[in-house]
Amino acid sequence: MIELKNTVKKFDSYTALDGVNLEIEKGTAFGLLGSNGAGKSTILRLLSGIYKPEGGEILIDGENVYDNVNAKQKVFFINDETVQFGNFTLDKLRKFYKGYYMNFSDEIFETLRKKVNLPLDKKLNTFSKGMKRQAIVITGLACQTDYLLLDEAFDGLDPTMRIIVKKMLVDAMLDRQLTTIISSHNLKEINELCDTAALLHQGKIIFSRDIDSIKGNIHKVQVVFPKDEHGNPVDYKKEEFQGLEILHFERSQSIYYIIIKNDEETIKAYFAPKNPLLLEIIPLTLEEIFIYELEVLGYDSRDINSEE
Amino acid sequence: MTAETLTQKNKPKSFVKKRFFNGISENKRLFIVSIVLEIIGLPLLALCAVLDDYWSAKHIKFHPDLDVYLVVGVIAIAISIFMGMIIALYHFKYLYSKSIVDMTYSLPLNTRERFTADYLSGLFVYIVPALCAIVLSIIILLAGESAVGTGSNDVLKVFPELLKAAFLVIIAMILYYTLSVLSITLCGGKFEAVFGIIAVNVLIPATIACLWFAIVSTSAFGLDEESILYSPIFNTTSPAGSASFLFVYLDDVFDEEFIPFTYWRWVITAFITIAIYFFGAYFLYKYRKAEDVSKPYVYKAYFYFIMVSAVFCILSLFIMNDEDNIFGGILLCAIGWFIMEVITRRGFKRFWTAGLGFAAAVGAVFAVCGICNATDGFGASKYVPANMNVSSVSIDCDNSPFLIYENFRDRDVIEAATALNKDIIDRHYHPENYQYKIAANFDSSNSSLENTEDIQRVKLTYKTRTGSTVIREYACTSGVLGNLIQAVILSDEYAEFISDEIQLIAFNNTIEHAYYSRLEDAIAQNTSDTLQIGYSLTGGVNTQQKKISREQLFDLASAYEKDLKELNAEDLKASHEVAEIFGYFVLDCFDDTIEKMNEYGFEISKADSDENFAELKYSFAVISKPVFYSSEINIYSTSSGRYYGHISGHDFTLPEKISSSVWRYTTTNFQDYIEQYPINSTEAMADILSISTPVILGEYPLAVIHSKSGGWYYVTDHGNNKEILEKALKELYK
Repeated sequence: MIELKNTVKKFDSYTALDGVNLEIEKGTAFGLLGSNGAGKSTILRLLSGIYKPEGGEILIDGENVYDNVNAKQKVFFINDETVQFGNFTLDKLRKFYKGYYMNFSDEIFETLRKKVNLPLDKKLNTFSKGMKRQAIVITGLACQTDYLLLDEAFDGLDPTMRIIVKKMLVDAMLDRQLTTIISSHNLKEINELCDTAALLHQGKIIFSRDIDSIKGNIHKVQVVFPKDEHGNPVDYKKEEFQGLEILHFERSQSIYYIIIKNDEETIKAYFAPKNPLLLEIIPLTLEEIFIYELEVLGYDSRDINSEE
Repeated sequence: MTAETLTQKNKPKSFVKKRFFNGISENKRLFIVSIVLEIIGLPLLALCAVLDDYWSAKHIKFHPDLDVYLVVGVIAIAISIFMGMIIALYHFKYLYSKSIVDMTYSLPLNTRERFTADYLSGLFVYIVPALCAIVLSIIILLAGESAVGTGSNDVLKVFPELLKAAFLVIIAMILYYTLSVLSITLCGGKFEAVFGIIAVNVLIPATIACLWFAIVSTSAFGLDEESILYSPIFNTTSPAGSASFLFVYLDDVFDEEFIPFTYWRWVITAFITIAIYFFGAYFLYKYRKAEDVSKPYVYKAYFYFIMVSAVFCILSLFIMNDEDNIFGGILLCAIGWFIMEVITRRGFKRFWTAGLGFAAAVGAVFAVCGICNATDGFGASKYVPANMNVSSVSIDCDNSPFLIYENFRDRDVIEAATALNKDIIDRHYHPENYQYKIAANFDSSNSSLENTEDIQRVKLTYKTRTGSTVIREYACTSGVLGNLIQAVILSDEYAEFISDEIQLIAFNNTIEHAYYSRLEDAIAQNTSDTLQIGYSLTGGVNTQQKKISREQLFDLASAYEKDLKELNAEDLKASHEVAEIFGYFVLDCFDDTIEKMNEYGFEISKADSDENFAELKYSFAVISKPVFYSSEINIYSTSSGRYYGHISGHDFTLPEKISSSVWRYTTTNFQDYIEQYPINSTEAMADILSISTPVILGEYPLAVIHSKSGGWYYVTDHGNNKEILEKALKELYK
């Protein structure tokens, strides 16, 4: 189990993580979502023992990870760079990591390598970005660590390879309870692969729940209310819907588009007394949830457009 | 399963070994380059030495020119040593390269393991090729020398010292590598990492040297610029300093004057410095963060250390040598400072603070120079090592034949040297207590001395028990040296040295085209049965040659050594010279020596015969009184056509009457003479010479006699010398 307890990470005067609390159960596929600079990569680097927190604790199976060989043995971190392995051949990469990770499996490595069909004896700097990414992913999986941390792991992979790599990850999760923590801006991938996700913004956790619960808790509602006694559409304001957690409120003609952070039953029960002519409750995609959640926090693409 | 086995099982595996070999494997190209360079370097020089030795021993005049190979060898050595910086940069690349820091820091290693493994693997890549080169060179030297069989075995004789020198070079390389690692640890950018290493290697020795030169130049009394070469702070803190120590060491080794303790002291101090750099680097490495990579300097103080040191070096040179143009120096520093600030800040953010920093640096430089001036070099001028702490003293005095020997260990000599040193310092700092100024900084204020024509350069080099070297150099009138000369002459070391010198000269005398500085070499190379001894009688103008056997020489030298060892202060003052052997005096109290000389046919009895003094005509000045002391002073100059003489002494008073058998002085400053008289009585002259001695110590002589051959003789007030002198003078002035 991974625990971040009131974790603070600062880069000089900039606070990248501000008292983050997070728990990730073993065997979870965990997605880290967030705006740029929210602190996703910082969390991954803290978890892999690269960064030392200025405050709080980072525990892996109850042990502080920083400068702890035992804890670091359980973690493999794949960052968003690939240039560092340029001078390695795939075989050298295998040998390199095999020396450090006691559970390294040549068998797994070879099986995965054959799946992605990578040459053993060519230097990685002759590989494409996607091939390098495949190479490091199969190496990471062969290390058989309990925790695999992937920072923008699917960058550069073509759609077919994405599927293959995802399948590899899923297989590992199923086979040996691998805990995968994926940071990505590609919400579709997180949606497909992860069962739990956390949203970060400006160094704070906005939420951290299983994805179904996130999706089931936020809804896009299209609602049309009956006209008033003068035959005019009723002009409701956002504030008039007390009791609902509204993330977004918009009206076009007589149709109201409302993003509500409540379960479906609550929403239905709330609107029932108003006898809506139309009440359509649609679950949001993860991408929409991301956008609307951050909009509430002032991270709004429309602001940029209006500035433009 | 017991608790113990459980603990062992759970104990995390250490990956230091793995990381160490990874470091070597990842940098094997550097390793190969190092090996190639090292093999081209030192072994090539060794091969050249063997060939040269062979050609020289076999008198082969026409052979290939080795110069080009020597140049290639030296260049290869220089590059291979320089590789230390490159190797350190590669092994700690992740400290300034953002792309690999994640990979490195995420590996299951803790900070200590990672640092230790990386440091050691870099050291291995750097040092192992050098060790291989040394071993190969040793094989070439030993095999070559035995194969060519030159017989001289010059290389083999100094072989242990060469090994020690090689060990010294290895330590210096470790120092260079460790300093490079320390510098990289302080930087986060590639440019700064490279610049930092170069800067720190130049600036550490330069700053120490400039500080010392500033101390010496700011009228600090008696301090010597050369001392810096012996300073452990200078020669153990940087590779350049170590190189200077290596040259001093090699120079001393071949001069056979080196004290091994100094070598081992350097080794120990260098290892301490390496340990400080290593643990300093580890400490800083431990506390630097992964996110510091790509910052120009992880610890900004390092940048200011470099810049302030550079400003200090430049400005102190201006202050010492060209104070009138100091503003030019400040301008030069300002340009450099602001360029570096722009590079380091990557722009002009809060640039006004750069101005403040520069002003503070310049202020600090002037403050240091000012304090240095005000405190007489931080008190260094007044420091004289305590007697008990001095293991040996070397005395170098241009004008005294007794004060040119090195490394006296005799306690009386050491005591006399420190006493002289303290006396000179006291006279300088408390001139109000003394009537005459008789000591000054060498080369600076000699003209202020009481007697400008009698300036002695006295250089005292103390080697302390802790292995340090303290050098002091003064200018003084010869009168202050009396006690020191007495201590030297009466020491056993002096007796042994002169005895060896007599034998060395004798053996070298009959060897053609060569001079051996070691007695055993001279004995081995001289195959003659008889040896020529140069000797003269008192006041000797003509050096005569006498052939004696090897055994007779050994006996004579042994007798001379015994007599000199038995000589005491009273005998020294009361004795008169009867002869000289290779210029070394034989006093009338040297019974064994005189006996041997008579036995071997040296005609000492002819000392006062008429024909000996015929040559002395116009050659003597006899000054009746009074002088305090004078050793050999050059007062006799025929080339200028003038004769002039000076008498020195801190209690110096001008003579009321000067009489001479050759010329008579009347003016008070001895600059002129009035008339010359021929020696009209060789018997009288012989009488005077028979009571003369080449050495007087802290006493007033009755007369000073200067011979044409350049020697000085004194008639001291002992026994019935006064009557003999007066009687002889009456004869001379008839």
